Amino acid sequence: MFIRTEELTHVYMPGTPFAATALRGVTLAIERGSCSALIGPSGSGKSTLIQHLNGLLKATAGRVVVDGRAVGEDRQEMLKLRRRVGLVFQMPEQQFFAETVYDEIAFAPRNMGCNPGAVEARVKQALNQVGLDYGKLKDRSPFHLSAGQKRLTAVAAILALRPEVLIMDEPTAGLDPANRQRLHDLLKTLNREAGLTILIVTHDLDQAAALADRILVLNDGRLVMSGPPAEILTRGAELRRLGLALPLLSEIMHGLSERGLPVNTAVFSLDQARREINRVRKQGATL
Amino acid sequence: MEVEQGEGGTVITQPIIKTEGIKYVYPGEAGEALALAGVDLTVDQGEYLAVIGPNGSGKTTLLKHLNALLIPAAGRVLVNGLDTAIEDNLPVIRAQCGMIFQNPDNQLVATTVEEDVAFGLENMAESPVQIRARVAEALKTVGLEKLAQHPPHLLSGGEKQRVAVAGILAMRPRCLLMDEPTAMLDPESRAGVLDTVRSLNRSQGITVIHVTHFPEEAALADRVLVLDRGKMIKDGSSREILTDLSLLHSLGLQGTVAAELAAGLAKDGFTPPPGLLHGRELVEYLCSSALKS
Repeated sequence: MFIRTEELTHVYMPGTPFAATALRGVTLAIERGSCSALIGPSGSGKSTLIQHLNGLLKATAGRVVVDGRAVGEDRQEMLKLRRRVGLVFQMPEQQFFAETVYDEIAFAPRNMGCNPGAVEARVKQALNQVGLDYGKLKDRSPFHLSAGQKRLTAVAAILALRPEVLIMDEPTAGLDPANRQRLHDLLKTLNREAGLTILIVTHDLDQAAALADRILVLNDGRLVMSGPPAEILTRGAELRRLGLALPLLSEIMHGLSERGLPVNTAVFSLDQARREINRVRKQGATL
Repeated sequence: MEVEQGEGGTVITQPIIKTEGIKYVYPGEAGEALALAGVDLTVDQGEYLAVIGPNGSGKTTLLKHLNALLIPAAGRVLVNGLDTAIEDNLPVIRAQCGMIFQNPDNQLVATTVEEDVAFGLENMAESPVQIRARVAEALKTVGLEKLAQHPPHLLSGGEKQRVAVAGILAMRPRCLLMDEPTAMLDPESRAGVLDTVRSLNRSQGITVIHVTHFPEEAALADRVLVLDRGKMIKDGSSREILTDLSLLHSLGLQGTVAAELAAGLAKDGFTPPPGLLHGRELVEYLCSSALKS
């Protein structure tokens, strides 16, 4: 198993009146090459969990194991871990600081001690991977890019580490539908063609179902569900109880099903929904 | 609509927001396209207005003009008749038009929730008794009275955003400006914030101007504006705009899921009623007519 957590527990501000337990004995596993989505209501522990996966937080109890090594045992290992597990925070473009797109993306490779030629190769490759034009953008200010380009630049800055795992917290927050689609396509390509292990954190079951091969559901610091989207999405009542809205399409399909139409409610795209409704119509006609 | 008794008994009506041909370019981006390229907009007291458009179309820029965070390079903005370019008007304008940003972490300043909500009032030099009463009232409205003593940074995203809303409400604004207020929230928190805002609009007549990328959120509004490259290219009812898929798709936007699915089904020989906007309408149509044999 590539990444696993064993009875991982995290308490913020322990021993104070504001002590808050964010994770309560979470045991989970993420396979190499998989694309998983971590969902759960606000305050369920999602952001705390991903910060453990690249060693930004220290476990109060339990442990995290990445590729056979326990996280947090020695400093050199920790530095290596942070290169192997790239973490893109929410609204990452708010952390831009460099004057050019080149310098923004070159920051990590330079800190890794790469020589100028290697830095340039990494910047070029990272921009290329996210579908941005190196020649056109390298000297532009990252602050003056469009919203979609900013987000892609922030992803490129992490890809320049050449990580094996890419973790993105709310990858599409604040993006319009066209940019959202572009980022989805990018994540799929990185996962399926470049073989990156991907974990996204999202509030959006639509997004989780569209991208991930596995959905992990956290609630109140505990892992409460885990499985492929088709299985998770059939547990509508439980998801609603957790305050997680079903994908909008599933809501419509559940609405039809509740009115007695024999539709399959686990649909992930408009086309699937359309086919399903047409199928039911045909059946009705032949009855 | 604001109604005042003018001289000689004539009734003067005044919109809460009026922009006249406003243009704006961000500093340091001279020579680039205008962020706003001449926007004329009139909003009456009590309206619930959604603003949609692709990233970079000028939505946030427009919103920031409505409480004088930005001053137009050309044209003018009147808030309740007060020109935002006149500095003396700013305290009144900012008390009347409160802004909720995308990320509540950028907006919370104090060490406890109630101090945070009181921040605006303290700056307005209200009396302590008055401040206490209004803070309690605002926290009750957003359903956070139990968290009054908590440090805001330990709340969940949805709770933080409701604290930000309470901080604005305590100032008793006439107008709530919201820039993608739910982008960082989970579905339940999102519903909580939207319900709060919708009921403030309905019961207290607070004007709402809501920038969003979610068609389902825009569908909560009565009226929807569409921006593209700094221009307002469409202004209409939410039903009219959010079911105009050829317009939305040409801008890289989407209609509501129900409208999109209905359009697909229309190609398969279904005849959904025009203007179908909400999921429940599609379910109703399919169950009551289309699929009934």
